[in-house]
Amino acid sequence: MAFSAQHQTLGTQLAGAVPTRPRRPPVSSSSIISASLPESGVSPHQTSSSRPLHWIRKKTLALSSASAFAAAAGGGFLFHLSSGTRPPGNPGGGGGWGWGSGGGGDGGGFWSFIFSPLSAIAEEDQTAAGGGQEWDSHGLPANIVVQLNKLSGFKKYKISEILFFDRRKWTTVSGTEDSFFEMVSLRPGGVYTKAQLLKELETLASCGMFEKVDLEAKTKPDGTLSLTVSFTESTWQSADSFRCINVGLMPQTKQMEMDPDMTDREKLEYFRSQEKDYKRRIERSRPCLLPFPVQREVLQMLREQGKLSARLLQRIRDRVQKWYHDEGYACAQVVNFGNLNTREVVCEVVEGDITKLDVQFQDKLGNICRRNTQLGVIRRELPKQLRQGHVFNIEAGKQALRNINSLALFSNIEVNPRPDEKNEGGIIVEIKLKELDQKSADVSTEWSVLYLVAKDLPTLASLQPGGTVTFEHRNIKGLNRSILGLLTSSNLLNPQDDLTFKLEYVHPYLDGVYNPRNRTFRASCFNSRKLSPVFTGGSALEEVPPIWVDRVGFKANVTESFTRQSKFTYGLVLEEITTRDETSSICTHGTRALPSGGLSMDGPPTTLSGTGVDRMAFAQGNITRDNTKFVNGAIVGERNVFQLDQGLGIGSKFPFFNRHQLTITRFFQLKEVEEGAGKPPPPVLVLHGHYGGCVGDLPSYDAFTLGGPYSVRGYNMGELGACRNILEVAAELRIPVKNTHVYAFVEHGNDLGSSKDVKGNPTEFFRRVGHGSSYGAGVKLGLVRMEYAVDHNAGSGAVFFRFGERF
Amino acid sequence: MKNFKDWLSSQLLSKYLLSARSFNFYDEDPLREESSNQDAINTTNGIFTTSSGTNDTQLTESAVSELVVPDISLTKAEALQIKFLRLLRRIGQSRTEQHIVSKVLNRLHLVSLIQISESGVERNGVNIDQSKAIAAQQEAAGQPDLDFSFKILVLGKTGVGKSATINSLFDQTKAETNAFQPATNKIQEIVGTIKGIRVTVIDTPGLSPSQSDQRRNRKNMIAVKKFIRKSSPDIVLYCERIDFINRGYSDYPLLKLISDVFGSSIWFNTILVMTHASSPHLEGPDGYPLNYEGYVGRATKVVQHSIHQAISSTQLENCIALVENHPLCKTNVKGEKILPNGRAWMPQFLLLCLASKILGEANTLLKSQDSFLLSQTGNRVPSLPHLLSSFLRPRSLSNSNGIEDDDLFELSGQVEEDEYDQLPPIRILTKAQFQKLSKAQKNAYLDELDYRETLYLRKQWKAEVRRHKERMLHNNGTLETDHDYENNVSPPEAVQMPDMAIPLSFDSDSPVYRYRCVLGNEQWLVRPVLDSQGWDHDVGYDGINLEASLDIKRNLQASVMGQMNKEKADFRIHSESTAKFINLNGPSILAGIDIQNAGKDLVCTVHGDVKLRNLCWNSTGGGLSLTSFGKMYFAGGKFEDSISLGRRLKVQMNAGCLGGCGQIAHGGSLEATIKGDNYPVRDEKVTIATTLLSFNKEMVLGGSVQSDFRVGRDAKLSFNANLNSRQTGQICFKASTSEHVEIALVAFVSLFQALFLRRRRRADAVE
Repeated sequence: MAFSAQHQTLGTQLAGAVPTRPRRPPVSSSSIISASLPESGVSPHQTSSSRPLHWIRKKTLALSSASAFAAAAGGGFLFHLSSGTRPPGNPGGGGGWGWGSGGGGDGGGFWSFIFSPLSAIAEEDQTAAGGGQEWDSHGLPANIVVQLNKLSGFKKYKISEILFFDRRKWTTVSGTEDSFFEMVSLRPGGVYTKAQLLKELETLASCGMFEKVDLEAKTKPDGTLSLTVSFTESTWQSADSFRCINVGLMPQTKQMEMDPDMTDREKLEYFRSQEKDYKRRIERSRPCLLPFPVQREVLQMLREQGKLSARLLQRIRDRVQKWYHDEGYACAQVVNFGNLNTREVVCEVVEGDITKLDVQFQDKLGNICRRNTQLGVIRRELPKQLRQGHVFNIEAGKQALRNINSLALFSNIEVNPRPDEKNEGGIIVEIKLKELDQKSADVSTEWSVLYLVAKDLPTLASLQPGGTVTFEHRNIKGLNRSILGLLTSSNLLNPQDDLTFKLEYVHPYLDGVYNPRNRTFRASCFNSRKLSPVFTGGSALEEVPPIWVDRVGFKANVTESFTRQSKFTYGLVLEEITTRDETSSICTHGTRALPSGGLSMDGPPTTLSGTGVDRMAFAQGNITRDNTKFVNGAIVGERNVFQLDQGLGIGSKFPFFNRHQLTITRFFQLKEVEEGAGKPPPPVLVLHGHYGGCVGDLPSYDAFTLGGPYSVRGYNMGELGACRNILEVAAELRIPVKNTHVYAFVEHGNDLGSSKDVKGNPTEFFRRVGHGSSYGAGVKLGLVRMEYAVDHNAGSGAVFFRFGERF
Repeated sequence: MKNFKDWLSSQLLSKYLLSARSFNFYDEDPLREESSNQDAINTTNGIFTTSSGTNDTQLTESAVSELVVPDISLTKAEALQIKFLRLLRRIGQSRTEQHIVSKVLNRLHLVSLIQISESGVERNGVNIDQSKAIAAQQEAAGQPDLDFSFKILVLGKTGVGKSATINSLFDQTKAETNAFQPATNKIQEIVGTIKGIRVTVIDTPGLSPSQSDQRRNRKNMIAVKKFIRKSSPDIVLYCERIDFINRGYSDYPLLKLISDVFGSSIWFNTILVMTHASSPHLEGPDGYPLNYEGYVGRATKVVQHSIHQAISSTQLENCIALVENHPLCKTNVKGEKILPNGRAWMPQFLLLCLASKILGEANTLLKSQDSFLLSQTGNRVPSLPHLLSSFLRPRSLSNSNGIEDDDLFELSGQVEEDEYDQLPPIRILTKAQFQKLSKAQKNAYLDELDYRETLYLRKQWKAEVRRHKERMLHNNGTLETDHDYENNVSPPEAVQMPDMAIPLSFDSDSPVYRYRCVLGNEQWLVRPVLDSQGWDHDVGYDGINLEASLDIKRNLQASVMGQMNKEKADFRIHSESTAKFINLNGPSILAGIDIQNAGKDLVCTVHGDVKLRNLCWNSTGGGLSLTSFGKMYFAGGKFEDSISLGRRLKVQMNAGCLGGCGQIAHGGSLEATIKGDNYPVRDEKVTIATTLLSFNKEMVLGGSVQSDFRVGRDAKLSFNANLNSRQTGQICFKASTSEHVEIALVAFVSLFQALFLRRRRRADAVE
């Protein structure tokens, strides 16, 4: 019954060691993942907010630092275990086998070296432990071996060297090379008192790794001590089966003190009950996540080694823990080996079960304050794996961080796992959030100054200022509803044609925050002024007087998100369209320059009503099924989009129409690749098709246009024609090169002979072909495409720079 | 034939661009033209004979002897003149072409005069009568052999009759023709003699007028270009059917393609050939048949306009030749085919070819052909004051963390004390508790919180600056460890970025997927530039904005910022790249290149600045810059000094000058800044500046005030005004708040006004 005895020592050790260890303050287990958003309003470095799209930059930096942080933490953890530069403030020798730090009881220390900026803490501890402290010379002749208890209790000794002496093999190894080195909390260069050294010896002796262990000090000429740990490794009988159990959240078995004057019978009884308890413990424990292949690997290790030695157990522990950490279970820890000296080795693992999810709100100074955001809004962004009862996975933590970040409600987000002090082996996931200002408003105005000629005094050129007004009210009622307004004009008090405005209301969680159905209502009222691609020339160099399309109107829609990318949107649009010429006066027909230099006014009509102003109401819908994903940075998967605009017969000339478009894009992965950071992306073949058709009334501004960066590359917008039916096909082959890819493409666009069905035939009027192909090649630089595309109609090529993807 | 005159003057204009001397001739030329058209020869003759004296015979002899005198280029012009006259005699010269001849002779004379004056030889030119005499003499003697031949390239659309024209020229079937389908499939060279002149004609396959065959056309033209690479043709004939010139349909794309492939200079030696010249012509716009001249004029105008468009210049005026190849065409007594206006087209055609060739040769004598730039629309000189003021602007590296150098130095002088840490702890009230407070208490509470926040931010900022400074002071050892740390981190995981916000549109599509990406470890920050007035039904992310800042070495930082836009034909760039070397104890050096385009030219500026910190309250600096704009260069230098008076007041002054292309601009500025107590944290400051710029004896004095301050706890105001002695200025006022959003109600005024105005305007329209 040796195993139970063994177990007993372990148990007592566990029970006894925990409180003696200095607990690391929770502060040091600082943020593992954090992201920050720019604080609006009066934040100090935010003065350049006039720059557009500023937020992207901030977010980029924050996220990258976040991932770096996490990676550093993970790397550090592994690094730490293998080389054993454990902070001495956390004497690992105390728990179980000396390495597993006390079954999760000693949470603080444990977490600190997983998640804190490691080096900093290690350094700090080093100095605290005596790196900078003064020390006393041993005051003895050099090169004599001193027993530990012969040392003076009042002196601080400096240890300059630690050696390991294996009594069985009769070899001496210098400290850092031995795998037992991590058991010892002493460090070369550290300064210790006699009491500390004795304590260290005690912990080593009781850790169960050694049958016998002793510390010997050897004096050095420079007044320091060289410490030799002489030991005999523990060994047990060989085993041929392996079992891994999850002991997280299980109460530690209470160890009855073994009465030294127990009778043999009582002893037998005692061991038997111990054995029974342990069996029950195994039965009650939950199964491990550890997959079978890894278990078999461990079994192989057991078989190869005849005897079960402490070092082998160390290796097994390393292997098991490595798997957990590779999989993202950063809190998993091997805490104990049980059932030794039987045929089965039981590996007890605390996997890091989440016992509680804690969401905290902080003010600007980091004090905990009351929240404004409703909890449901945050909860629904958390992945299931982060809920109570699951094992904490660092990937889920990152996912939560990203999801919360995409709410754009918080300036700072921390997802921080913390050991549960009431529930051993449990993890509390703490989410700390700093809310952004809910409201903000900006008014900027500008007057021009001119001298009055007569009086020679400066006056305002006009009393009416130009400027911009913006206002924002986010997170209304804590439900992430928002109102956003923007108005720009060169004359705020008497706006002319240059008035730009935008008013948007967003109402997410239409079916309630706790309903899994995710529908968002959006209503917006805005205007835009853009160039019409219908009224352009057939060649890039031919001048065609531009037509501006002014749209102003109201749009309301509901978006139902099925997944992050797949969506169904339906809504209603009321808009007024005004077409204007270069001089921004309303025009009714397209124009073309005559060879004589004049303008012909007999072009295609710009509007349905023929007056230059159209009003209409129509319903629209869009179904997107998108299961594309990134494989090492390359998009793989498929995307289908169906769009529909249905005229309701309301508006000028009672427009009744149906306009439908179907876009199908496939991204074929041509080679299987291993996924992971820094691995090359696979080659991808992209096939793309787009069909569009119109039935009923078709004003020219809504005709499909052929040519352009998202239609047929190599041509200008609308260079190929404007038509009623459209067909585009494209193929692109992407070959990875270093971190990015190069690609070659072929595209074709065709009007299917439908150009003549558009009123006034703008395709022919502006001497366009109606169809065209192009081919070319390019390289992707981050989000920028640099490509050379050959316009097949003219046979000439050009270099293009574009932002974003074609497909 | 007015166009010929214009053509000549344009040729002269080309010379004007080359040499200033010919400018006088240009001025004289139209005058002479007006005075007499028919008697041009006599007039010019008169002018020059009066100056040259009376001894005619001597001069003739001397001119003849000049032919063998080593002053070759001088004699060449005159030899050309003589050659031309001899050729004229051969092809026979009718009365109607007299003025063309006279123009050519006149021009040749000018060339010789220019050469004489350029060579600096004191001597008078040979007058035209003398040359005529020599020509007659030589022709009669057949001595020396007239070494003259020309090469013609024929281009044109298919079916206009290029090959037929060639056949008519040689008066025999040299090239196959077909009335119904393209007969010429490949490029062929036809050699023959016309009236004793050796002529080589390159016949080419016809070009297709259709848009969709551009590709084939380009291929054909490239083949032609290859064909003529070895010996370029003297004359290009561009053929067009006069009766097919559709006023609505323009050949612009085709002509543009020709210009693209062969270069714009092809049009210099081009004669527009109007085939089918005797076909019945159409009615004019008023319904009455036009007279023949008007008809031809209109047709040529259309083609000429297209050519102007194609080369984007209206200077050029090509000469026109009318051709009729029909076998049943009317002929005159000599058997020459005649046009409806009764003239034989052949001699005229030949004369034009001759004239073009001779003038082309004359131009090569002056070497003007090569240096003539068609699209040159005058030299644009950049505004020097503008360049200077941007040069005087203090340069700094755009740092990612927003820490300026001065902060580094300032901090070193200060005694460190973290006020924030010394604050007593505070209890944060819950909402309910806060509601219970009296108004004064509320205010006091919020003020306290605000005060704490300021201190907190200041503490953070100081820590940041200190870290920054330490990084610069660190020795190499720690740098390596830093490096190791980074290596451990190096492959960061790819994280998918949240979807980008896309501007609102009325379309049902929202193409967010185009902008999805994973986040790598790129140091380059790329953002799109939104063109809010882009294409309808398009997002409008057309441009690219790029920012990068790197720490190359401990003290050496570099940053690149730029924006660019490249479409099919359109290219815009604006970039600034800077490198900075900071030495905490010595000078800091900054160098950079700015590139930006103005029109079609690139403006490049290279600048270098040095800043010396001689005293803790004073720093002095200087800089140099070199700007290139097209082919012009501007150099500048400046001197700067900045004095800190106390911690909050800073006075900066600078002076500099910039010059180039014979112009120089001076300028300077004086600026005083008073910073708020918590300057970098709470951005409060007042700046008063005056600037002085002088250029071309003009002086502009300007002043500006800029102030940023906080009002209350949650509002920020910024006021900005400037005014200069040119009587222009601007006042800006900005307010931003996170609490009193009521100020946004101003917007409603605008909205109501807009609606109201619109209704009124519409009502007006109805009335």
